[in-house]
Amino acid sequence: MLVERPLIPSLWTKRELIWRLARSQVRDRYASTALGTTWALAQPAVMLFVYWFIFEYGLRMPSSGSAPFVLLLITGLVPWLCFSEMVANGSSAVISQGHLVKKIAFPLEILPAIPITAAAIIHAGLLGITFAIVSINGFWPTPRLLILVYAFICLVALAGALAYLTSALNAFQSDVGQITGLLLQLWFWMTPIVWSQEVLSAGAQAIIGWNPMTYVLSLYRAAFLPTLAMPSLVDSLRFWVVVLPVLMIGLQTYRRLKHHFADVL
Amino acid sequence: MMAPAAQSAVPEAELAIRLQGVSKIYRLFASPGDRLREALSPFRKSYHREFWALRDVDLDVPRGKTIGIVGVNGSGKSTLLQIICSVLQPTQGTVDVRGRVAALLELGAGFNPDLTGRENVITNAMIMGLDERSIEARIEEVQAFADVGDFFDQPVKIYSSGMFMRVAFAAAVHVDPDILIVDEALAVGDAKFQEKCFRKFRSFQEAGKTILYVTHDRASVTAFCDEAILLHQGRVVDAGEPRRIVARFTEIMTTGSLQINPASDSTSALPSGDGLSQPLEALPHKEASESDPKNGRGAAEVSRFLAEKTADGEDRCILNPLYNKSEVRYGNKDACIVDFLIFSDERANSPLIDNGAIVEVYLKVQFNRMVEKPIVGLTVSTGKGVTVYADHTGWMDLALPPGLPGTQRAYRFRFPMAVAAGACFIDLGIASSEEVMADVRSRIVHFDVRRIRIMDGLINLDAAFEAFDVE
Repeated sequence: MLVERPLIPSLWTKRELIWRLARSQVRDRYASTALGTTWALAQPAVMLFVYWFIFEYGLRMPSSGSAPFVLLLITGLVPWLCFSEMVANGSSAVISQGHLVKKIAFPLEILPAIPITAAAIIHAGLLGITFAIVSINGFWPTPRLLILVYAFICLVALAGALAYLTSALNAFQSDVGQITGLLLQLWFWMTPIVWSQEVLSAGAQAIIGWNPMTYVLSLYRAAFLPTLAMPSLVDSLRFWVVVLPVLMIGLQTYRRLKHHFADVL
Repeated sequence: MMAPAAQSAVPEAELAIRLQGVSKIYRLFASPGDRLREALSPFRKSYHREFWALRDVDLDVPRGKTIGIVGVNGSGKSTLLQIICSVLQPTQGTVDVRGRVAALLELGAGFNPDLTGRENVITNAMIMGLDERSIEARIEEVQAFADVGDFFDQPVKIYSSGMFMRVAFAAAVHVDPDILIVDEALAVGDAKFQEKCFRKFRSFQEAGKTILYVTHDRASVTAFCDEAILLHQGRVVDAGEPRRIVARFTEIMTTGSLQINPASDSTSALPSGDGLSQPLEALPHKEASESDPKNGRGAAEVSRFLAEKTADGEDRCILNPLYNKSEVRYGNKDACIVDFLIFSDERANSPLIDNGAIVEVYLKVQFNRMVEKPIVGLTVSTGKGVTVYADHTGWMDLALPPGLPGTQRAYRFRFPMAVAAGACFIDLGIASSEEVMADVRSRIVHFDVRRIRIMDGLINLDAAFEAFDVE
């Protein structure tokens, strides 16, 4: 048997390849379009506009006192879109690359890392636009913006855990991909993206506090909008208590199942 | 020289590949869910049936040798290669491969159609583990070898299949491998490119690289390889001098089984390690019956066919897996064809028959009235309806004993399967005379013929070839 290398260091040694494949994945998606990667921005823009219009003017959601609703919306929607893309594309990372798994000696451990990196590339673009919109609205950047680095690490830890877990299971049972899609939709509404946490009762807030994405979003928002409070240490502890075991289970499951991929695809 | 790992004749330092006790068991699951359940089961509960694609393979390949691997389809060749280039994990045993492996299992498998030839070559080299600098140093060479001109910087999807293969082959062999694994990939491209591939092959040999070469092309094994191994039913049944191995391979192909005939030559160390000397003796059918439930039962089914009388009025033909529902049937029913059986390669009613295999067609006839001079006939035709062969006992000048009312008789035709490949239909008929048909069942039998090597045409004449010096 081959000696098993730990997964994360081996990702680091393969970073050139991951980067190359991720870039071509982004390019592929828009290769045949005239507007190219502009499309990557169009979908979030439309989504943002629809939610903003419905919630601000249709439902007249009470704006939180510290920042306008549209800014809360964009700073929440952008990391969420990145997260859901990482998980959704990640979950099909193995089955969509059957030819690599079966025909060549491909370093299987990097498969889910490719769509994750691809989503991160688009995310970087969207963050730039967020930055511009937030600045135009009078929220000038402060050193707090550096929190984004940590916020992104949290985002990738959670999304990566789920992508590795679901992509491995998906290879055996393709229902997993469908279930993942459904759960992501539910999750979207369980996370304070288009609605504000403050409308909830104290009890409901405590429950939503265990949703790791709540924590990630509050980091993003605090980074962009200095008038908002930073998440507490308890929040961050709660996040890692949930995410670390999921990450371990995800990577471990992947490691255990990857030898069977060529047999099942 | 190849030797079993147990008593290795090859010094440790000169080994390129060492397999010890390698087996690959395919677990056959009733559903994909069962597979997942088993993989994750904390109690190691079993949910599968087993199929041994490889069994106890010991193999030492010394550095710098070219080894040919032959065997019929399903003998485990591809599985063996996939294990050596670590696409598949062995179920048991250890694999030790020293050096970078370039595998030509499926050319261009990792290519992205939207990227250019150049980009694909770079990506491919990175997957093989090269870093950017050594790739840059090599890209010119790849471009020159592929020889596709300006297309090299065009998306691969607009390539012709020949260009695609050339770039893919060039990409695969230019990663500076220590070990090259070739699975019949040289059958690509035009003659000029093939010649170029063979030259590259030669230069690999001269550079002292190790080559594993899997093929059905027996001639190239004797021409190219230092040694050959013969795989049969997942085992290495023989290894050594290419000419002898090819002869035994031919024997398997024509008779469908390996006779107990270990005509070993003294120049080569036969695999004689623990798991290996035995299978040579023990090979026929019984061994294999564990892995393939059909195998070995074939002969028993023939005896049963010949012993059992079908019930009055019963048509057993329609129960046969090879029965073709859209048969055309006519005749006065003085006699009826009530059952048939196709025996080949030790199997009864196998839906896939190798080209060249000996086929036995049994048919059972029920006589309803007195038939003084019965004539039995058959026709072999291709999927496109071309009659390949039509014959009957009248033309064969055989006088069959009369069929008495109420009796049943079984008849057999035996012939080599000359049809080269593809769908094959057989008509069966019984007649009272050349003009009066009792029962003709046209296209009643349907199976597929599997090609055993590349050739073109309807029929494999398996020509012998010789070259002569002309003064």
